[in-house]
Amino acid sequence: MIQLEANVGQPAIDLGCGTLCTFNYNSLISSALAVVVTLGIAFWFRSQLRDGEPGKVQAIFELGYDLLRGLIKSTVSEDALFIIPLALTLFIYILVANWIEFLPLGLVPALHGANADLNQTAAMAAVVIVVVEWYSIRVLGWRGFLRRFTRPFELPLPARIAFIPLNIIEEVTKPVTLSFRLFGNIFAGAAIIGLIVGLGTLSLPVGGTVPLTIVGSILLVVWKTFDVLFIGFIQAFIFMLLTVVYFGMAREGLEQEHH
Amino acid sequence: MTDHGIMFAGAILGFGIALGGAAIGACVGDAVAGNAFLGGIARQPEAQGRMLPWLFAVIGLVEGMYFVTFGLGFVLLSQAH
Repeated sequence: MIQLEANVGQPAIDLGCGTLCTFNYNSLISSALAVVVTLGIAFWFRSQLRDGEPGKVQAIFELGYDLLRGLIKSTVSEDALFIIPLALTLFIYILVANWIEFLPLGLVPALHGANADLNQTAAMAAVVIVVVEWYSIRVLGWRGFLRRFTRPFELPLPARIAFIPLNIIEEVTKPVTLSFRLFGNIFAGAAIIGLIVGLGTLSLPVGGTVPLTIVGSILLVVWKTFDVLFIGFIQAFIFMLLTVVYFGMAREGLEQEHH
Repeated sequence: MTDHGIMFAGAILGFGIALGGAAIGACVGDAVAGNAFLGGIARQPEAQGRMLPWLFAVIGLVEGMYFVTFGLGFVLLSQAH
């Protein structure tokens, strides 16, 4: 059930040196499982690829890959195709980590949806923002990178000084919202699953715990289908989409842009 | 009325108010997105297939704000012990 203690409900192990050594072993085990499944899916995709006529799996994968590549070409630029592995890995990993929650994880206490831990999503958002800033510095140079914080470029320079804190706040907000969006979605889903499961322990005067257990089971199936499958997929897609969009925004201020 | 009781009551009350505001924002945002989507279908019914993924993208972003509030509220609520 939901625990209102610290760590938002994940049991933690402290290795002795304080906050930086405390691990949520639940999340580590769940994400390790998600990583293994993701690698398995990736190698299975690879084994299905053939020259010549593509099979079903390859056709679907090529469709998604083409969509992603078209999105990157239109949003970022032609020579930024190194984003594809990052974006696709994030998408498939987040999808797998979310969809693992569809299984009855109550039987194995150590497993839960890996993205229900803020550390997980914050780590992924940190990786994304570091790569985005590196790409921005590489494309714009140091001067252009600092100049980017004085957006909008139409106003004269003295007026743009006032926009620097706003731009810095916007830049800091990007990884924060990225991580909190994914965390909130998955954690809220898991919390409601916990509530529905708790329905089965209420005992009515007529029939004991049986009627609410049946109602709770049906409700659980409906909720899991909607939340885990649908919202899990959408949040994975949004994470990938925002990663690409942030790369596009990192190019702002480039003089010779002609799309 | 102990100090701990007041803090806990304040935390839960604040969480409820924050969630109410977030729900209103999410509803308005979804409604505007849906309005634009339906308007687009009305003008060009054959473009529905291309517009549907973008509807879900916008809804995901709008609902994302709601869940940011939910998650942040829960984290803060768990600090009120």
